[in-house]
Amino acid sequence: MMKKLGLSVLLLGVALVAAWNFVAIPGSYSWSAEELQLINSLSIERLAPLPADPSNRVADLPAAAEFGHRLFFDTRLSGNGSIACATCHRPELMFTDAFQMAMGAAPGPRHTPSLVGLSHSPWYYWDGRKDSQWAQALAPLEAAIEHGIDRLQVARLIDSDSSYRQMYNALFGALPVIPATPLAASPLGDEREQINWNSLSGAQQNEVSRVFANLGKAIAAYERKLMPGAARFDAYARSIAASSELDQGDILSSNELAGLRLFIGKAQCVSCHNGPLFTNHEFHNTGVLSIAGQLPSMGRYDGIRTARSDPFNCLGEFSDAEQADCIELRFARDDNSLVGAQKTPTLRNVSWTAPYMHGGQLATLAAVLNHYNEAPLSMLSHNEAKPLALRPVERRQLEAFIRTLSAPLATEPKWLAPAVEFTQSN
Amino acid sequence: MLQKISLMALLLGLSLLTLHASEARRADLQSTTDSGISVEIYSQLSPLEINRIHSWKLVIHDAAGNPLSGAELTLTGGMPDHDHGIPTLPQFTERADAGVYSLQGIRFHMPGKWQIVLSITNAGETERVLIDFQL
Repeated sequence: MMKKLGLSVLLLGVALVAAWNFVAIPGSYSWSAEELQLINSLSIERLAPLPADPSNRVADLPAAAEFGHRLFFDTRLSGNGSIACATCHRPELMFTDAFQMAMGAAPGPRHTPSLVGLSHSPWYYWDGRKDSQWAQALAPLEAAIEHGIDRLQVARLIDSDSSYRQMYNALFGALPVIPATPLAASPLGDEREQINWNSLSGAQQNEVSRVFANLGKAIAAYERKLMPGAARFDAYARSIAASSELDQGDILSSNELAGLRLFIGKAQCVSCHNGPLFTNHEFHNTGVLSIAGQLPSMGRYDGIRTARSDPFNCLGEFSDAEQADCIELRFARDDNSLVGAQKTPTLRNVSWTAPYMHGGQLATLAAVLNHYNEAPLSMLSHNEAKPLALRPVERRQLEAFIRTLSAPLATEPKWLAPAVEFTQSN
Repeated sequence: MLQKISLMALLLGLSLLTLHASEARRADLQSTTDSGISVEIYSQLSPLEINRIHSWKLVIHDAAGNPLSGAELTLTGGMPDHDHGIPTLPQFTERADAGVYSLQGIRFHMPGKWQIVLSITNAGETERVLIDFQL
């Protein structure tokens, strides 16, 4: 008798544990007005037109996008002749590389972020140390571990390629005379490159830097074409725009719908992953473990300081903007709350861009959801997120919803492969 | 010809209508301090929305209803439920019109309940006004 009772208690216990992990609590089958408004605010149909970039006067010129398209895929823009922008930002992987850390000329210190929809952001890099897409595009070229080339050699490449020279002249006016010597020169290079840079006259330095900045502007014009496409979630958002019924099992499954409810509710994902791009373009400390072998990153705290002193920023001499246009840079916060804060990435196509976080620390979406569920203490400053107490089944529902955000890009296919003229001429 | 004239008249009418609407528009946010200083906020983005940096025009009147010029303004605030502030450092400038101020560089980055605290210092006295709103 006692044995039987013990067995029953054991079985009940097992059943309860199993239910806690696997059985969903039936949800209500309609949305509140507030929920509907939130769902609608996430729809890709609500994506505003791409904001103008006053610091880049060629940002929306078709000829600049064509020029930038060729530059983006050109491995000659590297010290060893094998690295292009597209080496790490691979079109078939939503412009990421599937590696934990970027792999240019050498292993890099950060995970490669996607470029899709990024032109909507006022800030670039995980720590926001660049305030325009064109200024961002310049930095990897001169980084020894990325493209490993320098601005003088880049300018010389444009000069030596008649097709590039024509495209440059048409967009920016006649290419200046590029000094034939020294071989390599940059104010940011190694000691030899810096000595060489200092051997150039101030006027030469300025001309070379301007050519370099202009190439960044062309690359940015190309990158502005990379936009996410409508996904299953967007079809659902459209379908309920006129009705508050959940539309069971038609466009989204009941698990995906439960995940959506969690996303905009209990799990609070929408606090930061908001708007049609599922990002607020802001910086948050979410207690992500520091990258192995590195000190914890200071994040945006350092990033905003770097951005302010960047000669290629919105207020600098190579920018096409008026001071009044540089609102983000002039009114950016820089206080201690930004210590350890990294940029919120888009969740569009996120199921196709593993691994995750600024150091690729988390391999899967499930690991990311576990991280936010636990909200561990931050190694530096404080974790803004709080523990969520999501059940395992709820985390799986959230993941199922997040997977409904992936779709082919809304970008014309011709931009997703090297330019045809380029492959023919080589 | 007649069609063109009527089209132009229609356009003129429409533009007058919008002009009128913008002048007579209601404040996006407003409040009054304990001593009766009133604050009206007109946002460049109306209705207010998240993730876009923009500017505000503030119109301030004293308790007697006269424009309050020469006040020193500071703005803080954030999301009380999330324990964080405004993501930018907006700045005030006083405009030529009496009692009118500009706030440049404001942005909100999350949907939900926001609260701003406006401090108004006038003739050595500082008063605070709390404004709650939902985004």
